[in-house]
Amino acid sequence: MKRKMMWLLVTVLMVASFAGCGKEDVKEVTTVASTEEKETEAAQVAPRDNVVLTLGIWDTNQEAALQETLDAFNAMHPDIEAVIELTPWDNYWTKLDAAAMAGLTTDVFWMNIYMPKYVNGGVLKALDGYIEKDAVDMSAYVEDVTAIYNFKGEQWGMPKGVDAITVLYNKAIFDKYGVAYPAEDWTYEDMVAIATELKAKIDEAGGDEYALGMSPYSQDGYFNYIFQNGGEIISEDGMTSGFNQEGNQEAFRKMIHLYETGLSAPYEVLANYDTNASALFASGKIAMSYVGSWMMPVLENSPLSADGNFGIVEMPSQNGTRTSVMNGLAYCMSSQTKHPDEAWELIKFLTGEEGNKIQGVAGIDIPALTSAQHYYGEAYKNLEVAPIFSAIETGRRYPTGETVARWSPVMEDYVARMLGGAISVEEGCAAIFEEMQGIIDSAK
Amino acid sequence: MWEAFSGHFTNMDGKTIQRVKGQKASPMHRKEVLSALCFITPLVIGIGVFYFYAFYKNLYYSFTDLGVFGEPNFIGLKNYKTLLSDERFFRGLLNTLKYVLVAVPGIVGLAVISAVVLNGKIKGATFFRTLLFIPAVTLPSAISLLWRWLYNGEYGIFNVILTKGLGLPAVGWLTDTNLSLYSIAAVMIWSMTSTQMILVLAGLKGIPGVYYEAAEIDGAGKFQMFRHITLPLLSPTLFFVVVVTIINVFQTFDYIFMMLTKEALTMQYSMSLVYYFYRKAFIEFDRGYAATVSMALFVIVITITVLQMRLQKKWVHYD
Repeated sequence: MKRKMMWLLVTVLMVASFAGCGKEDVKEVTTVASTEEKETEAAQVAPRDNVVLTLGIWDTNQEAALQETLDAFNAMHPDIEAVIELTPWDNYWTKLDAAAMAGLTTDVFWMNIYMPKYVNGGVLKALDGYIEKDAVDMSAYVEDVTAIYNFKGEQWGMPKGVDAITVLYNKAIFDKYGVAYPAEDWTYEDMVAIATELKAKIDEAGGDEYALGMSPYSQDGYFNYIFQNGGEIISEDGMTSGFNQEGNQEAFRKMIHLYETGLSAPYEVLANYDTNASALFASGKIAMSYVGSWMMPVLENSPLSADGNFGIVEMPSQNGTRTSVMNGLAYCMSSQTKHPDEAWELIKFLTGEEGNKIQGVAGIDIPALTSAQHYYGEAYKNLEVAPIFSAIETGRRYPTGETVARWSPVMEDYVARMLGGAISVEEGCAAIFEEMQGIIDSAK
Repeated sequence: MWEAFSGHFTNMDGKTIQRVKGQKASPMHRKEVLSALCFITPLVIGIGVFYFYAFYKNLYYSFTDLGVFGEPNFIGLKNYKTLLSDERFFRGLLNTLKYVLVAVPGIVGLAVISAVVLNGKIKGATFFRTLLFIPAVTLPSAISLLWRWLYNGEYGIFNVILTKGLGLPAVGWLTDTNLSLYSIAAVMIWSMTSTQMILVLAGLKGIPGVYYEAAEIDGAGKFQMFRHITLPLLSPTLFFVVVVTIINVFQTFDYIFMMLTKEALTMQYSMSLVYYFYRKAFIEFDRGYAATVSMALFVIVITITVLQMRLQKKWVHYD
């Protein structure tokens, strides 16, 4: 009898454990709905809801504003219900890849410079037909961002936002040491002069601030210098690496000079998680720093900003140009969506005047729709945003290509060695060119 | 537990049920084995899917060009050929070997010392045992974050004490390419000693006190007792601890990932093989090659483990 009870118990446990397993698997595969989504579903119990659209995003900071946008969209379209599906950045691409293979992507999702691989993988639906049908004026958007999402002659994404790089300066430090603020039309030589003056006065007073924060990363660091010194990261057609150009070497030489003379905080310090240029600037340890506009929401809330000590200016010009690198996200449509027309309506709304107004007012992203950019300016009390828009006007798009995911780490490896003084600039650029070109060629 | 390593299986009565070959199994015996199998079936299925199936799938992928997505195409030994001339792979391997050579003796040594000390009759032994066990129940990521701040060149407490307190120059714990690997190894030792210490402590408790008493009567000193009684009788536990620690340190990833950015020069001097795998799979999306890297790591670890098992007979005293 005891043995029979044991068998029964084992069987029950086995069945229960499998059932539990199954539920967990299903939980992992199905969409992770945000709490707002559940509220929206409960609130909109319109019996005519017959199309549900999912929007895939990764940034929790932007979720609230996007939910507001979806609420407005849903109110306008009683037969469609759009919901957000948020996957944190660390898992976003892995999940998207897995979902693409399984045919389970969201209908619409955020896209960045990784787009070419998704086009090649057949994951996206080209939007040219819809753009033409609804006569969407693409020139109303920042051209360079639109260009990022144009690949092989077709438009695969509608531009969402744009980010640019400017120089932020700490007025309190400048005042403390009696140095004049950067002028609007300053040059690289001006910057070096200001930094030298600051450093001399800081050293004299025994202070521990740094004059400059020269970011060792690509977007807010060396890509800009490369452009401004006549170099290239990758050719326009994405077929040739630009690292065999003298301009690239010059860019790195200038950066290394800033580190070696102590004008900038040291490379090792700025290549750290906790003490990167933006973090040190926000804590008042750096007088001038190259900062990306995506840091604005964070900086707006810092003590620095509350005290009105924030100054912002366009980058100093080098060789007569202030060209900086620009990036922006886009909304793409899945090729596997069952409701392409409705998905297009959602994309059109998100990237239209109304959608951009909401995101601009919330200050989560600078609208790529030029006519809506002024809303972003109104979102920031303590920040002057005009220089950011000037930078957008002269900016160039973030370099990308089909194999960007493979050559970026290679490029970063050698850049780290150059900036850290392990190899010379000539050696480093030559090595990047060789390996990067090899990667590009092998994918042809 | 360590007896399982030497291939002895015992049933609940403590008798080995390894039968002599050819002897016919009694129906009672068969029933026992059958019910045992049924109890472990759910676990076996779980392990079968998530370990064995996953392992063979991974092995398959290592022979393909699985990249972003799409179907993987079989490309034979191409990935392995690339691996043999991959400078970064060998750099990762060298770093990992350094971690093993530094961290394993550190972990095992500290575990033995602290276990021996805690085993003695000292005041508050239980309190210290709890205290020393805390790293074992803390997430590696939490530990990494904490140590990352301690090690911070500008504001970390180590450098603040060195520069402001002692007037010494600041140390680039995570920024000096010669030092970063050892700084991270120190964190590994700090965090991985606790679990092994508990195992050693359990092993110490299993040594009958009569031996020590007899030795004391014979006039043996503490160190002699340690060398001639403790170590030999502890050797099964020690063997297990060494094998498991080596395997764990070979697979180290979290500490490195959390403490260094990928743009830092020191990452190239500190990255482990598993970090390189992560970079290939999730940053470069070159998953076929990443599978190859993981297979290489597997071969290395299993070779070392098998070697240790062979040497077990020489090193370990079983009674």
